[in-house]
Amino acid sequence: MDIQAYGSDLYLLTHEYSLVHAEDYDYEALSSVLWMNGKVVCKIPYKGMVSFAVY
Amino acid sequence: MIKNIAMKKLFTTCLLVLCATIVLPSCQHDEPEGIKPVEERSILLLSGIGEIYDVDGKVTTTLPSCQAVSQIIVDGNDYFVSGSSSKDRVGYWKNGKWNTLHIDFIDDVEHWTAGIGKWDYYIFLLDYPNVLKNSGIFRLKDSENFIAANHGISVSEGKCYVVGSDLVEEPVEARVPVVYHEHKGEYVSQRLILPKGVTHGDAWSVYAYDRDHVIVGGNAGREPAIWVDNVLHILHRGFGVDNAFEDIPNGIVTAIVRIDGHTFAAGHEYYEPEKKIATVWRDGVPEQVLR
Repeated sequence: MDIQAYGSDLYLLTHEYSLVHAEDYDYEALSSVLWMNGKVVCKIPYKGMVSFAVY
Repeated sequence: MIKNIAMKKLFTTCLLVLCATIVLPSCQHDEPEGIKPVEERSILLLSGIGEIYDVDGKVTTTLPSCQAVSQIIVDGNDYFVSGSSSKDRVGYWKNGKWNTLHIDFIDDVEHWTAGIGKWDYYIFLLDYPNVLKNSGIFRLKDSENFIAANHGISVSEGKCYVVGSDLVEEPVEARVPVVYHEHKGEYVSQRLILPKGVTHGDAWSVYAYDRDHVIVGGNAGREPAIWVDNVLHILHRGFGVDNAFEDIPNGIVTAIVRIDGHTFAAGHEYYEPEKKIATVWRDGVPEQVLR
């Protein structure tokens, strides 16, 4: 999970917005979800995302 | 007479054109100066192995000689990535190209760069067991048992903070949250306060602002918590559900940012004993991102 501000906008990167416990993850089926002010910007296949940047 | 009327019309027209020239452009731009409209912004997502994705899920850049990465930050139109190079050098990637920091280390340890910060022309790397400021080495004092948080570094106006957990033996052996700050050429740690009766906790995230202020996020015992200038705030869990795992916190704050004077702490809690949910606490009030 990572969080960034751009101006007055809040960006949030999540991988686990509604998931079972880690031991039960099917990583192949996971997505990373990027939000801006509570709305989905993009949803892409999980690739072990660790961080993001907006500029 | 006719000439006067014509002159007045010409003057009025000029005045209207001038007003339109001044007013209309300011009406067209809702964003503050220097802030791009949403559709013009670039977004880069960094994978742990150094692939940079765009919002369509396509790899735009693969960082050369990359062993592992930890964090991406931006400064203006440049982006900077921290991590480890397979060439056994310490440095960072700027706009996809590797930059080695030429440092004469006196230690003989394997370096792992856990995070990056920037201020002016200074690059700060959390390169355990040091903080590197360009080519300067600042030792993390008494850090033999310190475990740095991912992204556990934050810089505001040149002042740098590092967070993670350290091992203590009193009153019981446990890991406790600590924050490091620079003092006379090295970084010294301060234990973050825990509630009475709570012996363990962890610091997972940090956000420095206005140079002398710092917010640390993590968990105090099993509860999600933030420390604002070292003052503890236990965060309310919206669902109030305890998880089914005795040794795992019921909630954690893993990322923090401040916007317009408001603190946003992101992390997770549990909505069922074995199911967790992403949560953002806005000034301490939980908001579920989405179920």
